[in-house]
Amino acid sequence: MTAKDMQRRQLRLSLTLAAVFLVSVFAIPLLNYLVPEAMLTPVLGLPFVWLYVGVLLHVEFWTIAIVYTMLSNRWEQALADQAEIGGE
Amino acid sequence: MSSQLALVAALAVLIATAAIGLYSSRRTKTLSDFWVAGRMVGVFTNASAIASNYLSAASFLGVAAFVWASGFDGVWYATGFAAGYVLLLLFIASPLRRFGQYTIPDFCHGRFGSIRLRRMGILWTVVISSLYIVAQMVGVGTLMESLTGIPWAWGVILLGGVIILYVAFGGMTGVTITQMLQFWIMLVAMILPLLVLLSQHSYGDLLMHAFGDAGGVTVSGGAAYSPAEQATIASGDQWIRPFNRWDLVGSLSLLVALVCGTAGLPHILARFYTNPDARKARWSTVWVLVFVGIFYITTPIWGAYARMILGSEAVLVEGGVPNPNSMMLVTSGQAGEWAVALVAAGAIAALLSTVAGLLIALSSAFAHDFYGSILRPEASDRQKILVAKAAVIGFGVLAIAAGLGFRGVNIAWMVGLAFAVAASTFFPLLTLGIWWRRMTEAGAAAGVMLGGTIAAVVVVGKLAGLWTFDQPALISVPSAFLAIVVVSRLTYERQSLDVRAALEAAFLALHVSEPPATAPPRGAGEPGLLPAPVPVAWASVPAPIRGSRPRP
Repeated sequence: MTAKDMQRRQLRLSLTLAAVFLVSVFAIPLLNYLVPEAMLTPVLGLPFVWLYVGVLLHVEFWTIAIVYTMLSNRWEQALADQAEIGGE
Repeated sequence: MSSQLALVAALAVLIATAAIGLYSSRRTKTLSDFWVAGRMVGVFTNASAIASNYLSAASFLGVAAFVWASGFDGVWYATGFAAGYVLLLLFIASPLRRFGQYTIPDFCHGRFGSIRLRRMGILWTVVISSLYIVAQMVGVGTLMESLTGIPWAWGVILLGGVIILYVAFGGMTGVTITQMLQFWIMLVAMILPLLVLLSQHSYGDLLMHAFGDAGGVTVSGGAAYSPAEQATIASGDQWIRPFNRWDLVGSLSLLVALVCGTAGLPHILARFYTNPDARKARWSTVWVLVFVGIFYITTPIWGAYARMILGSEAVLVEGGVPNPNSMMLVTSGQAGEWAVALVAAGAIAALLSTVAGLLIALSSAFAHDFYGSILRPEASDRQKILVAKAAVIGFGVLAIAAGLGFRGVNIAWMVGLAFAVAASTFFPLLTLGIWWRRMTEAGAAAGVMLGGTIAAVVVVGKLAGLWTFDQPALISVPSAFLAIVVVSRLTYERQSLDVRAALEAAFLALHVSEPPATAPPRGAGEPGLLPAPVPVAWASVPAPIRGSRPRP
């Protein structure tokens, strides 16, 4: 794998995760507008949208961040190792 | 509200910060120490410092108050502020660190080889950070007065003076250590009193009184609030529903500003340059998301307790602003004096850390980006450090003066504006500049200026009463992206081959991994320490082309 392939692969990963992120955030105001009552269904006593925006979105952000960081760092390490072996 | 214990707690944080900041000045010897803490800040320390830099008193006290007054719409603030770090991580953090300079204007200059673009970078850094710091300084006065009873103006001068002192002596090295400690004070102050509240009023109570019919708070004290103010208070069942404060378009626009703006704030991005390498920059961001997330998960709970315990009494203060004392009011009747003092300490820590970070960003725009890179690049490191210290003092005094002059301004709105401008200028510049090979200098300039101008026009028009729309991001951010793409496409083919080769080399510098940072060169006078103002890529391009207007 070359540095250029690697950069493309990273961009693809970033774009995929960004799409998940953007949809899960920007869908909420739209859903609030279109199906307001459904969004207020009580879950654990809280209106669903409070639980989702107040807590679950944060958990999603953490998951996205950890997946991205682990994969990117692993790929970069692999590329660096490969360069080292190739150089000898 | 003010109490002896709160005064003692606030002063203790102030004195401890000053002492640590001054002590660390012994470790601030080189330019790199001053601007990027020698690039040797570990993941945990840096993540704490970034979170602390980011979380101002507006977040610490203001978001809880916003939830108290407006209900669900306030929860968006809490989560939107954290969400910005996701895009920052996915697209900006590690390439920017790999590029390896000090500031955003350095990026402008290094990526596109243009002094003109560096100047624009300086302009927008100063605009964004000024809006932010003025809001903070106004908040300083209000907070000090209500927490400790120190008269408004003296609070601004006292706190401002302490911050100038330790930032001027300690630079980024001092700011890093103090910000880290301040973050943990803040987090403890946020969580500990809340645990006491939870032990006194169960989750079930909270649900019933804040969310259920039993809590059907109606807006009382009608005489105290104007009709416009009453409209911002969510009464009864309305509190749990969205669209109290903004309609659908306003909500979307606010989200765009928060999600994109964080990734364009100069004082936040400056902290990413302090990471030892790109991998650690990523892990720092992960931890920032966790720290900031925990912080913002607690704010709506505070807001709900305020609604349960305080009803709608005193929910707004002067100017229709949600009462920033909500957390102190809630704790004072319930958890006792120590909790009020702890909240006071947390609020002071939040203010100090943010203002210190902003002072670094502002003074670097002058001392590093203007004096050290345009006016007198040949100056010695000694001279540059002296100018940096003078710039900290100069901007600090200006910030105190502005704080005194702008008393009564709506600070939450000003901070929101800083986010909108950052989202419309640096966010498009950085994301496309990092990921699009064929972006040109003219495209960058067009996008930054168009985005920033639209944001400014929307706001000025709103202030002049031409329209009521005050969330520019939904228009200005896409406009900036579009301008960059269109102008770059039109101009790329007209660049000379030299310029194209240099653009390509600068692009590669963002993406090719550097060797792991074991021991970056340290010590004054070492040439390897300072990033060249322009990467080597641009050295072979004839000077006139690098100048203000690239025309082959």
